[in-house]
Amino acid sequence: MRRDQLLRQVTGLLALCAALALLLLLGMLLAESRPLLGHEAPLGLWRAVWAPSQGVYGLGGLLLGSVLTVGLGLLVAALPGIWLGAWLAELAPTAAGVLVRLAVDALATVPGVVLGFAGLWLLAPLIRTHLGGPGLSLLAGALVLAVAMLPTVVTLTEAALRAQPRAWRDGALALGATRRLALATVLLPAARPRLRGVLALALGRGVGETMALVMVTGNAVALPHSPLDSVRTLTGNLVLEMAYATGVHRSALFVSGLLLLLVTGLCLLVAGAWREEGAA
Amino acid sequence: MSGGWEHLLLNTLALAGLALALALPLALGTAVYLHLFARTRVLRRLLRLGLQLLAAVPSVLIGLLGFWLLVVRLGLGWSLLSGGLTLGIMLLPGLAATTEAALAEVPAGQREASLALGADVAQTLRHVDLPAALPGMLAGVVLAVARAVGETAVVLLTVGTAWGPQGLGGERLLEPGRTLAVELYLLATEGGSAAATWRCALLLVGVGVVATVLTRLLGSRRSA
Repeated sequence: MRRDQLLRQVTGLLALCAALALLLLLGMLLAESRPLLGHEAPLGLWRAVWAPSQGVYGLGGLLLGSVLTVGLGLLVAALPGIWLGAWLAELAPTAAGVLVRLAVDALATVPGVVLGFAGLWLLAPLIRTHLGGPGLSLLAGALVLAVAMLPTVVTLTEAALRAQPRAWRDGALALGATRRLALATVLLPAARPRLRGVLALALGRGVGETMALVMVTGNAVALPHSPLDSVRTLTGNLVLEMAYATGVHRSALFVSGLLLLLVTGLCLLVAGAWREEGAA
Repeated sequence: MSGGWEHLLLNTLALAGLALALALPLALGTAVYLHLFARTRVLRRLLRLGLQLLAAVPSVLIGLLGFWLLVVRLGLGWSLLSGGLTLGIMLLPGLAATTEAALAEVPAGQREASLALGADVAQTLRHVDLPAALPGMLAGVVLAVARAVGETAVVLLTVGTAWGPQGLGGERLLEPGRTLAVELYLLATEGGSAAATWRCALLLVGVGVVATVLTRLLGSRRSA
């Protein structure tokens, strides 16, 4: 039994190291944020102007850029994603279901940088010629993000529907409903809290997406007046400026990282609460 | 482009290898601890919550951590080593989750039979749990490698974009370099030859497709 004791201690230590990574991240963000938080009045952080060369570090515009892009992207991805997930869970013929799932899983492995390249090569020129503006825009970012979030929405929607008691569907079918009708009137309405949770999780993922957005949003710091204008997101700003930032500018980037962590953490918590409500 | 093609692949593979070297032992230890030893509910929930949170952290923040801790504080500079270790942190929560799920799927009867025959927990783990969970764990590893290969933000922050050194010496690990994904980013945004850009993109998509098919053959689905 001494060997079991040893195994327990070694694996416990490894688990502790894993947990440490999270604490390290939080500690870094807090410690490196201090210089700016001392230098700025808290309200100043929410200004929309990000101009490091003039010592102005307002995160409002970047946050707005992230929120608008991800929100619009989710708006585009939500309906097709939920529809496809529901189709996979209830209506798909076996062979077609297998193929579509394979395609969705493969789409989920496509790296952000490849999605960004596709947006740059296909989407931006289309937007520029048919809708106007510079092409590299909020709209391009949202559409690329919609593709990035689609697999998450599809897979989790299917899982959410499958997690519901079989008796609900069987009952509806026994009452004479078609599968389609049972889906529309019983299964989807009953899954509403879970589906909200699915969308919140997708939102959290979208906010963290970096490369695809850096490549297609144009990254202008000015506030967008229309979806055809360029935007800069929190993640994009970090990856563009971190390598050369110093002093207060560098600290401001860590503050934006803290904000990013808060936003994604919030999405995860909200998603968890909604999914538990759905399971109850 | 000429002559450098192989070293993009080599850098990419080196990063994925380093990342696995860090993440696999940690993930395996965490999963085994959760599966066998974390007996109180609170401890289990806390550890799981931590892993979930870490999995939800945007990769660019993991990159920031690597930049701050490894590149700057520990003085490793922009290097393959910094990048590999940072990617390891990124892969850790996903690997731990797939490993734990694979362990949880081993029928309890098999474990109990082994324990009843007088084997201790460590022997049971080595001869019963781990062999039975191997396909599921491998599927997790395959997906992790695909993620490491496609990751760009972390690599930009920790390995840089330098058209890296040739050759294969161990000292290369402390030098900056460029991976396939970063090459695609630079080609696409700074305008490179169309052929090279497409070759990069197709290779990266190909890795993902192969990984998806492999996971399916190993009998498990990506856990989203």
